[in-house]
Amino acid sequence: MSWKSNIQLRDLADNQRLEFTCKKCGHTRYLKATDLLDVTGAMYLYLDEVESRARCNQRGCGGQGRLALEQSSLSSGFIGGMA
Amino acid sequence: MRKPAAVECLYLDFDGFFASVEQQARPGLRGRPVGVVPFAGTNRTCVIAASKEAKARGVTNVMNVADALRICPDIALIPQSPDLYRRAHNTLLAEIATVVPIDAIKSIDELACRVDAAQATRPRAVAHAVKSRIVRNVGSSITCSIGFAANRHLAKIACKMDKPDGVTIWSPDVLPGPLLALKLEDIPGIGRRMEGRLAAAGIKTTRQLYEAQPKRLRKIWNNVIGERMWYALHGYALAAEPTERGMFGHGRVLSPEERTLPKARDMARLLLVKAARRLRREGYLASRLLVFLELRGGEWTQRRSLPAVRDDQAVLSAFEVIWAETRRLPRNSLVFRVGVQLYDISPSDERQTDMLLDDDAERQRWEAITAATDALNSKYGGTFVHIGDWSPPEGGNAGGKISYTRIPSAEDFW
Repeated sequence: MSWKSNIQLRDLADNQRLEFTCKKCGHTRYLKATDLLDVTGAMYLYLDEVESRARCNQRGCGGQGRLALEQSSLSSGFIGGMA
Repeated sequence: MRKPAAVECLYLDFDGFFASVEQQARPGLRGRPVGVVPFAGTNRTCVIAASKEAKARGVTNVMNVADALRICPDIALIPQSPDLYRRAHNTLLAEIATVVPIDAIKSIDELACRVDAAQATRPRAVAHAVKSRIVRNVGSSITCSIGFAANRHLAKIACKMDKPDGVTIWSPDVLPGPLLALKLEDIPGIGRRMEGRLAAAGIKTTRQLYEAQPKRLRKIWNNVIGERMWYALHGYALAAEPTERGMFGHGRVLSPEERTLPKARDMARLLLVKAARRLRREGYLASRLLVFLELRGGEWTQRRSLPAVRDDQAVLSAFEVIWAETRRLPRNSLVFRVGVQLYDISPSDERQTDMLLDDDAERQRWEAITAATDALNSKYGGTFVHIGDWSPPEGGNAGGKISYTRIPSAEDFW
């Protein structure tokens, strides 16, 4: 089971973005957790379920894709070489 | 300051990250020496990441390609794929976060986690859980080394002790023994110059550094970092303060066919639009623009004030004014590198309008136009709407450079 089987949509922060990359055409787009939560009943979905339901929005594609969590908010630099 | 009695920090460093991701993505490279290079088609560059097989043959990171080929003739030289590394980074971090919460992402291949009291009693099991999760859900070609200690700095040093694919636990009761066995140069934060300053002060070994007084180290460092180093080495709960963003910028070394002023202009303009997009995404305004050129025989830098802006029209207008100054440069100037920076930044919800400029209505109009173009580009996942010319270089990756302090997002490649 991957990480997507452990996290439900309701576990995500409101400003969390999910990156969706189409396996068919390679197109990437971002989904906002708040937008997904607006769908009735979606809050209890695990991310692997969200992934299997999401489709590419490119015209004529509609392929399935891969979800990833954007992690940039945790980035922090070294100061004087110290972590 | 608190001195933990048990390990509290896990530091994880992926082994030869770029090269091992390439091996995971391309099964034909597994088990072979691999070197990742910035671009294909030339030997006049360096290996930016070597696989463990290449390292075992003597290839090191930042080694010239010619030298790498001399000592390892069968090395597979692969052009970098920043977007692939970025995606691998996101997947790996999501897997790690299911075992132990991530405290800080220090670079694309290094991160720090905080272990709780229960995990602190069984660090080896935690490391095993992280590693087995990566093998099971990502792949066996990507390995990592893990260090545990009372603080991030010690954990980072510990994780280098057993590379590749190792686990090192420096609980407070075993220190400072293993730390004192290290050379000064093995301690992050002590570069060649600092080593010289320490030597001048009579500190030539890690034991002497460890036994020095914190105020003395502060004096040698000439700032508070020296004192913080002392506390970190002595196992106090200490981590680097969160850094504040100071600017949004991009730089690029131009390929030989791009080294003219007109092509440098196109590249600088493209990089500026990408920097402005990042500025907007992170919610800032910029009040200064800098354009930098590295020319044969010198450098050229121009700056210009901006009225606290974030829309494309404002930054591109300022750019055109700056670029007009290049008419003073010889027409056949050779440009090796271009750079742009939007700096003197402030939060976008704290805009102070310029009472002499009276441009608020115009700025709001351009911000609305820029927001609409950003929304369209985001919806369709690329740069489909833009102001003026848009001609990204062949091979892409402009604005998608991976650095210690920045891990690009998918939008940076659009």
